[in-house]
Amino acid sequence: MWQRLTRAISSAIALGLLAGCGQPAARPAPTPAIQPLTETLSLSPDSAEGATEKAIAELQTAIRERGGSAEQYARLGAGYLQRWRETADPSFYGKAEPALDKALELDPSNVDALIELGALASSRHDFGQALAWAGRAIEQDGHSSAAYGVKADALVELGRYQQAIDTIQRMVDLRPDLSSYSRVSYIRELTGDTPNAILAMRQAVAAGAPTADDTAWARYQLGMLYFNSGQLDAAEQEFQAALHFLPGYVHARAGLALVSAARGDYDGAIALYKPVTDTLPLPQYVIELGDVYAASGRDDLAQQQYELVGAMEQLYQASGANVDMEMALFDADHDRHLDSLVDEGQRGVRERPSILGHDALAWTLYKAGRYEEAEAEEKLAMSTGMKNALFQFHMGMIQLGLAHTTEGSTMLRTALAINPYFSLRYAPLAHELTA
Amino acid sequence: MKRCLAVMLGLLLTVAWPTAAALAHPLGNFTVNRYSRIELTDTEIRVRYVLDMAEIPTFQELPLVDQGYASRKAAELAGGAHLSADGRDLRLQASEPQLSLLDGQGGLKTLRLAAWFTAPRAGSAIRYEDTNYRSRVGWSEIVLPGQTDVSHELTDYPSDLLSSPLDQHAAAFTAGVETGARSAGPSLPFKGPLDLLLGDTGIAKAKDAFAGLIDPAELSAAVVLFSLLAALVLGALHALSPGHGKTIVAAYLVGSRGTAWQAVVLGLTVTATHTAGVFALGLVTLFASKYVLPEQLYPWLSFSSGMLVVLIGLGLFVPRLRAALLQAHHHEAEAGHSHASHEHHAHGHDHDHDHDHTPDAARPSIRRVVALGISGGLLPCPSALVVLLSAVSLHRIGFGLVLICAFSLGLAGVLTAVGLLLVHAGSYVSRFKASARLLPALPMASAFVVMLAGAAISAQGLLQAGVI
Repeated sequence: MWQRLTRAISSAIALGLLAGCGQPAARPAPTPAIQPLTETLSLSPDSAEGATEKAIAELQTAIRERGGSAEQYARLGAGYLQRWRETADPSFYGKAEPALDKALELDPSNVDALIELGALASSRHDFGQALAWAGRAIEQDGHSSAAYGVKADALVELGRYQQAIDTIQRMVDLRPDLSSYSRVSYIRELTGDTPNAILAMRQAVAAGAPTADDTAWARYQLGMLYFNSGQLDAAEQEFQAALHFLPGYVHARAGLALVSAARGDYDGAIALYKPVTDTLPLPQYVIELGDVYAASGRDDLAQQQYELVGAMEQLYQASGANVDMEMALFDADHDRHLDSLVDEGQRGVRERPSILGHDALAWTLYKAGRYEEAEAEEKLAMSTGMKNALFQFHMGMIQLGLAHTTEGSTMLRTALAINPYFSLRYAPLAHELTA
Repeated sequence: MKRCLAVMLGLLLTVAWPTAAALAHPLGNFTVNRYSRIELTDTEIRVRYVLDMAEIPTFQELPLVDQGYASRKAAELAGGAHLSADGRDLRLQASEPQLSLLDGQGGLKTLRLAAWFTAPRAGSAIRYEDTNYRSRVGWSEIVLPGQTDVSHELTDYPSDLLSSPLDQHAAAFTAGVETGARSAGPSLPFKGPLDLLLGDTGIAKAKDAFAGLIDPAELSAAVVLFSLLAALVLGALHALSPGHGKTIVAAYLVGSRGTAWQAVVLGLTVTATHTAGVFALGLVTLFASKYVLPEQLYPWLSFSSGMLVVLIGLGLFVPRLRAALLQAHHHEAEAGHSHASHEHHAHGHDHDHDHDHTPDAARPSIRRVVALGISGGLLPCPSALVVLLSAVSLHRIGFGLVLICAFSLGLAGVLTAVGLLLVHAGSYVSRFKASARLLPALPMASAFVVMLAGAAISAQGLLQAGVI
């Protein structure tokens, strides 16, 4: 990890400071008559793309000309993965694994390759495998902050929170930076300490270079922390800040759309969402757009979005990706696949026994009318004390199903107290039921 | 650092990837891929245009697909393809649209539309830009006359591990009026701000040049030798870029009418401190990166060394000011004497007793020279630091240290040379009788310049720290 860190540090320093002591830069003449389109969305800034692209091109040339070392293949694989994150272009994703395999073939103890393979497994939602790769990486280098990061992510998704906390502690001790602070933030959020989660995410943002896409991502997360605690203005401010530093940053645009929708400005939200789902049709954003259409009474357009999510589900299934948990929640919300819903939820929680997994299963059980089992699952979901409006809402509905009217109403009120805008679908319902 | 967080992003980004599904779109299931091949005939410019949509965009497009879809869509795509000749826009006319819906992954379809876009032949400077689906992820290829068709009209995407997907949006070439086509490579004009900074500036080149030395694939004797030489030259060049104690050396030597020996000492001290500073900051960086981020640390180091220089400048300025005031009295009393004194000096004698008439404060003692050299060199040069850190990262610390020494040697050579030149120039200046009256002011002015330089360094540090 030192390799990566020092390289990152040195380039950051070189970038920031050579500008100060070198010759003034001669601006290249603009290429004539070629104008960038005004309305381009990017997943990440041109700047970051440029850097990753350049690194990849250099490695490709070096490996082609002189044959590559394990180190170079590991860096190439890491570059492809990073580029995939920046562009969402899956052809980079497809090339990452062979490159990393090649690195391990040349040097079975290459720490970078082990870490990247762990990250790759995580992105596939194969958290057991991710944990195994991270373990091997830590075996090789017990001081690699990134290896602990991969390990912590897997542990969180597997619901092993105490171990995750220990791992993140170790990570932040090794290197208190954007990566470790953002994980500190997430684990605090999951365990119910939202104010300090916000604090840690602030630190994460402060620790990053303003225009880096990691920083934009941390800002987006910070915005979501505010949103999830009902602070629309603060959330909007963070999304705007992310966009200020990275114009066109897709996730921040989606965040702004979320805020607009929460304020009841459905047309504004739709105008913001559409380019987002055109650029990066992530199920989450397509669902949110569908919900805005539904809330504004355009059911046919909403249905189109939900069908698109259905198509994505088909693709996930065909490719063996493990997204049962997310899909179970979506299907339960939209009364889809009702006969196989609980199976889906159970598969989800088996693969990801996290509080989110338990919550999804609970909601499928509720939809199937199995309120007592649902209550037991939702209790597991709420066991870490996370201040999650949706959990409270789910539990409230389950309680109402069990005819525990007082408890149910209290929980619905709690949901609204945590975040009055927690769901375009359910917040109005919660209001109605507690009125 | 990037990677760790990115894992979390990866979780969100999870997309379906083909495991063993042969039917899967090779470029992933939400790409929109475009291909343009430009051909010239005697009378026409023709563009072979192919659009290839993966499963998700096809699914989004399907509600629109009906009887008239193919020609409607082809015309729409032709509208987004901009062709110009000698700066005049040419309207592209779409014809022969062929639409096919193919079986994709998960029981979904993929859409493929091919068509010809034509315009009458005109002009010779041809520019083409495809603005269709610019914000969508996907393969984007432009084939000019005489160039290789990489994807064969989007039917065969290269799966080479060492190639990246094409991302070409605009191209320009010159068409020979009689002989058909002369082609130029597609120009890819869209560069990010960092690209502009990194790719095309002297800064980036200097950085690449020196930092690049550390990373040759193999360390053959020739490579090592070349690297050492290159480091030496780069160090020499580096000394000539502004802000590396050179100004301070110059100002001091001119101001204090230093000697050749002092110039050498000053040059060497600056260099030695500079090198030590790189090592120290490198160590601090490695160690402190556990606690603070070096990119945040550096500006403050810059600031504090700048302040140190200001203090030294102040230390020079105040006594000289006092001395100058004293000397003014002196001159009133013994007009004309100063000429002799300065000519004396010009011969380069450095015994104190030769300079009874020059106030002590203006006279550089070796101790003061060394102190100034240290303060001037205290600011470690980032590019040297890059080399050190790169060396650490590549497990080639020894090589890195040697390179930095070579770099410093080059730096020392030039700084000392500059110093000697100035000493010489200083004595030249003092031969002018006309300027003799200015000479008493020179030490003060130089001390002032030292202060200014320090302030500039501090301000730069503050700027980088984001304080101002």
